[in-house]
Amino acid sequence: MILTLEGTPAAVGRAVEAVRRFALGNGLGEAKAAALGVAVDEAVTNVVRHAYDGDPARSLTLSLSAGRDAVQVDILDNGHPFDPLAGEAALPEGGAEERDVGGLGLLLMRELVDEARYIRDGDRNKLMLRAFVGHSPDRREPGLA
Amino acid sequence: MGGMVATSEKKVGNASVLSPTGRVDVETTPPLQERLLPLLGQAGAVVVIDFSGVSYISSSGLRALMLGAKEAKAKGGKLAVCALNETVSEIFRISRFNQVVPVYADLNGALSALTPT
Repeated sequence: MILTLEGTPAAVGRAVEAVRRFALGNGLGEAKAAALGVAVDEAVTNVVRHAYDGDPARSLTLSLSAGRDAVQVDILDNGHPFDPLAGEAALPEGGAEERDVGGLGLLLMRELVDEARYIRDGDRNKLMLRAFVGHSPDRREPGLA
Repeated sequence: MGGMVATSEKKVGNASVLSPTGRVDVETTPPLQERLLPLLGQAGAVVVIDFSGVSYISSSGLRALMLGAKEAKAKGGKLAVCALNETVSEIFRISRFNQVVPVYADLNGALSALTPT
């Protein structure tokens, strides 16, 4: 299933709902489907805000696929090269006084899926997010479908 | 739009209870934040956000909560959340947001902790 979305905040919710329904229909439980949806929320928000600099005329593509063991969402955009998985995600610590505002999106995106990969594919960013059916992160397949 | 936040607000004693519904994401957070921050801008305000109708919160929503928590600290107020579903609880765990705002199982628990009689 392919979804084309405009680069606007309103598109984020539509993407999340489509991903959640697709995941539920392909073997993920409610909690894992919701977690994958939130990871997609963060990934799409990141593209809208940063890769596209908030330009609503730009569009991005979500490709949803499912196998026996996993549901996969590929997010493609033609914005600036940006690897959201580069570097260590800093673990947040402390109360409101000690912390900065923001900076949690990419951490959530990474932590809410079982597997995340990024490649620069020609002039496009391609981010692949996977959630395993049956919640068994050890059942990793050798490579993405 | 099923996912939109429609936030209701009520007063319980001296506490304000905000009850958003649906997603708290990049699209729906701004109106929630516009209600939350003015409440916490009053000295000594007590605000509970009841998450029982919220399907999920994204980092945009967490940012608004962080701004609210900082405002509460600055003005001597209190901000707490309650009734998180499994997804929201997981997001709080990952982001360690229980260090930012107190989390209660339900609204009664939050109100009795924050507004002792």
